[in-house]
Amino acid sequence: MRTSLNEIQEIEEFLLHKKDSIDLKNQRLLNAEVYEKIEIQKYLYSVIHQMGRNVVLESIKEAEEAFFKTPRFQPIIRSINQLFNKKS
Amino acid sequence: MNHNQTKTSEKTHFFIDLYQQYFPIVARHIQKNSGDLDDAKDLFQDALILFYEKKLLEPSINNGYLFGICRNLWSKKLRDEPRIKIELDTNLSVKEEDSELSIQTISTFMENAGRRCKDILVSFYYEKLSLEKIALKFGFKSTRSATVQKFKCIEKMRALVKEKQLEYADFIK
Repeated sequence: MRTSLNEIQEIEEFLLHKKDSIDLKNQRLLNAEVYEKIEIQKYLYSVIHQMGRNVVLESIKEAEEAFFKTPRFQPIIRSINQLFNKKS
Repeated sequence: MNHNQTKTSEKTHFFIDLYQQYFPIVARHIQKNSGDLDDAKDLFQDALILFYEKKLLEPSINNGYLFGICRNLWSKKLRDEPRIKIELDTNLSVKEEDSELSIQTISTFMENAGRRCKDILVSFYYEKLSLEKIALKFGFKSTRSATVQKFKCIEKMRALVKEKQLEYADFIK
């Protein structure tokens, strides 16, 4: 792999697998550029996680819509609605 | 129908089954504990995300665990009133106060990094698919090629952050 990709791999192991890299730890403290690369990569993992969640949320919304609209579920939906109507 | 669509559809069916199995019980629980139907719907969505993420890490986990998550989230919400929004508990979650920026940047990243990169990264880092499965799903000849592509995508996204000259405070925790 290219040097830059190896560097990404090393940062990943440091951030996600807690692989102790004395060299990287030292560079992080001493070198602003390395510090910045690590922080950006950390941020990217949180962005990817959020993107994953958004995909799942879309499926959940589709499922909710299907559940509330599909005719075969209507008896269940009616009893749920009655439950809340009784309250008010 | 491509592979992604099939997966999405499978995922949606999985969630429909959970709605059928657990939403009535959860709704009853919320109704008994001072909530309304919208509360039940919001809470169930949040719980499903947490349950799904738990299942990615522990595939053998029982579906009954979902009701436990709902109960805990609702207790937490009642305890934390008048705070309205339930915060999902995860270390990697983008912080609430950053979410507006994140949603904006996420969509920009996705557009610029490309759909394929986004799918590869989400499959590996979020869905926890193995490199073997990633290679198969995206048509790489080997796990090595999949690994290299994954890092190239990270590199591409990293370059985009720099290119757009995001404020340092935007990406630092």
